[in-house]
Amino acid sequence: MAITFTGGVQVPAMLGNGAVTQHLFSLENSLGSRVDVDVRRLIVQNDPIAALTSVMPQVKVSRGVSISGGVLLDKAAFLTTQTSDAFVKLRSAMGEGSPIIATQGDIIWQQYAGRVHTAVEQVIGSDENQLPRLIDSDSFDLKLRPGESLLVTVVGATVASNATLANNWSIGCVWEEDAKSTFAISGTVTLSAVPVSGARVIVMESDNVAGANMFMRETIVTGAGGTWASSILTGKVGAAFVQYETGGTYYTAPGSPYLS
Amino acid sequence: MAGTFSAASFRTLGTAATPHNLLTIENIDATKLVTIRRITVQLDATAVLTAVMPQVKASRATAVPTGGTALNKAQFDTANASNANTIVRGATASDGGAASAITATAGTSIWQQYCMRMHTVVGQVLAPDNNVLPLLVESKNFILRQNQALLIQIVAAVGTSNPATNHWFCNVVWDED
Repeated sequence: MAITFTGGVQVPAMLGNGAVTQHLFSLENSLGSRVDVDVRRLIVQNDPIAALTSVMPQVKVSRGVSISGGVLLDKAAFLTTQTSDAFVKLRSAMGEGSPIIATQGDIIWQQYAGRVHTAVEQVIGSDENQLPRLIDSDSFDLKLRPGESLLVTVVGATVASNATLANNWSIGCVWEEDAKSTFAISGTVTLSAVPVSGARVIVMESDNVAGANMFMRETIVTGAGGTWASSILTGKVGAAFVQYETGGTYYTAPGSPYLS
Repeated sequence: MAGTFSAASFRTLGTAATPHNLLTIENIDATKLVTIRRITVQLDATAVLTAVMPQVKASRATAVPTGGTALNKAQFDTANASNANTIVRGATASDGGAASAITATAGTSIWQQYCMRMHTVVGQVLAPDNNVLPLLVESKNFILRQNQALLIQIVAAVGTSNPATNHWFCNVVWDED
């Protein structure tokens, strides 16, 4: 298809968590997205301000699942004429009491990010590649399809390896959004054959008519003429349900069958 | 191409022996090719070493490796599945865990790399990517055909140059056709 958005995010410094595992960052292409996400760069930096004489933590990247928590981050556009898909979400562990909850997948790449054996002299900050640099090229896509996520996790040998007041983590990420093809669905809501405005049309999308990976795509409030329109990813199926209230009376209609 | 895939070893402790096989990737498929696109090694050595540091050497193993721990393979695109005949082996089954030795013999060295050592245990320890194949394999094909394997091996001047205070890991990314 076509690249509809190129953007980046730079996560402010995050403190270590004094545990052997800390999820620092996630990039989620949630169900409902109308794009594939191609990750073009992912780097981590750490400024360790306290001495660590044992092995430094590893920073591991995987396709994480069951991601929640953290802090949602703003997305910066390379071109202000482009808009990111709202279902593409970025999270960081920034802020006390807001950890990312997630489960790691198979490790794609990993990286050490530095330590100070003794706290003397200059400490240099350098970009540490969390994914192989060949993804800079259009020839090699690290692709997140709708429903897939990337997760960055610190793994320490001991809790002391990622001490709260010692490690100051930062993440940078750049990605592209590649539009996927869709098909249109639409209709008109009527009551006693008269079109009604203000009815709520709930659009569901699923992998198949059995409802696999079903989610609510959007809720549409009908305008004048009672019309509504939405889109469904090519290869998926969609369904719509209606609710309408007037004068304290609620109306509904039989749900439409899955459409494909 | 059938896809791009990667694997990462667990953090592997030095064995106080030389050589020390760190990672292998092998292709045992009669019809498919494996093209290596990048392979890196990192080391965090937490103890003093005043002698010459170990070299990390890449070579085609003289035979298909055995032993070790089969590593999970990650997908760059979940629409593509890695061939079961592409096998990546690491030398431990967990970060800092007990050794699971890879049995493989090095062939002619293709590329080699120093990583780091601590002459005195003072100051910052950096974590650069250490390339154990030249970067040009990103665009120039380095191919493993049937029953060929790439071996990443640590070669120390003496065994004591690779003590258990050496913490190694290795990453590899490849294409399958």
